[in-house]
Amino acid sequence: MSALQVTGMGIVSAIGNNAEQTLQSLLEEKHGIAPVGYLQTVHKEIPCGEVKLSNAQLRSILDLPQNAPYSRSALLGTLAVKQAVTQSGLEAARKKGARIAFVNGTTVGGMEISEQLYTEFIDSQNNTHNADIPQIFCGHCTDLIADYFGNLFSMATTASTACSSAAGAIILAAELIKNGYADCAVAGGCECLSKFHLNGFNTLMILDKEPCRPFDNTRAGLNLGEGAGYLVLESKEWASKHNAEPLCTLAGYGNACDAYHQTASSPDGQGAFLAMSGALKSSGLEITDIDYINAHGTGTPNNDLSEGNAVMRLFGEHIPPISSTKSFTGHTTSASGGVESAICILAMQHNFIPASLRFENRIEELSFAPQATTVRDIKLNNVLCNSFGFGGNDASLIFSKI
Amino acid sequence: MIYIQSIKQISIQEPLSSKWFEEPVLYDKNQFIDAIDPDFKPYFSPIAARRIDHLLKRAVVTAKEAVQNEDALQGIIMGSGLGSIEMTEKFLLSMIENSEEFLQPTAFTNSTHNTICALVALTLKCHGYNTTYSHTGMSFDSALLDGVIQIKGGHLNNVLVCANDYTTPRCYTFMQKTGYLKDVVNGQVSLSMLLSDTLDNESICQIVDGEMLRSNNKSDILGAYQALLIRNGIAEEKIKVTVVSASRKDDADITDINAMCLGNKPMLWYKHIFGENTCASAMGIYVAATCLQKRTIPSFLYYTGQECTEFPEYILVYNRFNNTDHSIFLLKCLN
Repeated sequence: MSALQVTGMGIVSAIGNNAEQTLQSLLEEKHGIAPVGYLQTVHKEIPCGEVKLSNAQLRSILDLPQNAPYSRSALLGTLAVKQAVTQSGLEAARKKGARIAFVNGTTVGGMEISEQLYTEFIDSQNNTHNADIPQIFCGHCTDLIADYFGNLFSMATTASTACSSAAGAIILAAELIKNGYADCAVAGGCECLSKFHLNGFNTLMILDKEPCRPFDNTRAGLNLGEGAGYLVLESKEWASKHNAEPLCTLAGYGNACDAYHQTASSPDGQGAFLAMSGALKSSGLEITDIDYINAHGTGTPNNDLSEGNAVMRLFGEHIPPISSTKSFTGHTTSASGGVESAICILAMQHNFIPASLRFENRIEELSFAPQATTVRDIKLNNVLCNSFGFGGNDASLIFSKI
Repeated sequence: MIYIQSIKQISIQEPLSSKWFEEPVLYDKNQFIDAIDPDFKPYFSPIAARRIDHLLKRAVVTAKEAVQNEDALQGIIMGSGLGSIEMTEKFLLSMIENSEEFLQPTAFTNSTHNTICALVALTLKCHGYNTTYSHTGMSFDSALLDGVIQIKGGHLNNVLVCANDYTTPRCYTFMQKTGYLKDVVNGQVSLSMLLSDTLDNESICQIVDGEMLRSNNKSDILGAYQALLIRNGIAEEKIKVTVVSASRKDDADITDINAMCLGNKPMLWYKHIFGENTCASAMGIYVAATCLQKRTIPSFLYYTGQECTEFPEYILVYNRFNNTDHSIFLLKCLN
């Protein structure tokens, strides 16, 4: 089977509620890192990449009743899936009998609702919130999103590999299609900010109190973000069957495990190296074919050095332009593989390389600096998108221009 | 071809053993039941044992026992509905009680769903394909389907597929409220299963193929079943028995589905022995594989009075969750 086509995408993050707004923010170098407005936390001093919509606004955009038991993750996910489904005209494929898989990447899921359940409803005879109990399963978030689209999806599952969840979801979706278990798929991920993981990352002391500076020698950590990003994948045959316009192809992908530490990345970036080289191998491309790397680039001292070492090891003298768009969106954790895939596709479509904001000083140990300012009028044929997660769950995706 | 090379389990039956096949431990419904743990001392240093929770220990032990040749292992795929929920609860409750102050990172870093698979990879030093699915009652099914695809697609020669779910006492309370664990035996699941593309003396049975479906229309289950058989060139009359995911003796819906969509074959069940849990479906595959290996079906596994007249060549395993999610896997006896 030839490379799968991407025929739709959806993106919601701190820099825009759709692809058009995201593109504008990227080109204007306008980031979305700011004090939180909606998340209820005592740690107001920590800036985040919060989506600039309340849950009530999200419900109203989606025509959902205000009492619909949707978590914020599910709301963000539904909005982005809707954009992707609409762009590709997937309803038409369904009418023609396509088996459409939904593979969602998430970890936090409905954690903000679990927080309430554990405090208020656990030991009492209070049964008023029983309908919310399934929210303790992150897979329930996937069900909520799938339910919104009626019988569009003929199968659904949830990949949960922390910050590489969405990338892992895209890889499974591609394999489902290639091996005949689905005809089309919507894959990506969603994650809202929660008190739970904001505090979790805070205890690890890897949250920057200022907007983050990925790949800077003085980088001091990441900013948490939230959002959702999804792609529609399908074979060329199915895309032409329902007249979907391909945006690009998913040319290759790799998945590997760093197997070094529960949270830290190995100094030599073994997992990252294996994931990127696996993606290259499966695409049949050479290192010199890659025109841009959208790095995982969280801004933590550990990740950027480890990822940088892996990039140096793989690309040697041919390191392509590299940037971390987490400097715009914050780290959208489980959604990041979807959000950043969509950003890569925008970059290819509109011939630009997004900037790695706030970069000033090259990391001493690295031979390269990230792209600090936007490059315009540059043709990108192949782009590599990295997503690495806690536990060493590393995934890389390659998208190619048609 | 895909073969199951080994399966190791820790559950509410005797751990790392198939004693349940002869003498199952029987439990009452509507009570919290924890797993029967093996002695963990040979597997963990005292420091490591303190740092990780019950489920992580069980996961590492079943994985180590299932994989004899660690160097040859090419990938690990995990299913877990709740992940390391004990750690999630610990961090969550501490965060609530201390108003987001004075928190320790260990519980958080061990709380993500993939931390189990990551620890197994770290223990087995496996840098290959590694992923975790957390889709409530279809978590293990997703992992197994991915395992089948990885081997079928020629990406891996072998892969460890695992199921790990711990229903904590708190989650038990929640799930009694929703009805999921009401009037059923509650189970605990840690299972590791090694799949390989090579038949050898260790092989237990073959996994022919699998299928996952999301639909509340029963006719789609029939469609998925037929598609699976057609894709693999197997005549419907060859299927003589079906393992079903019923958790109660009187599940009319499962009986209906079996009659309408799955050829009305004799049914086997396992949740009266291994209990209900979001990873219980792994026990369905385990029970089917054990029967195929031992070439006998104990009478306590039959769901109704309808029994097989001869030992079957194939066992179909049907699982469903919430009336919307379904999976079918087909296992085959080795010659």
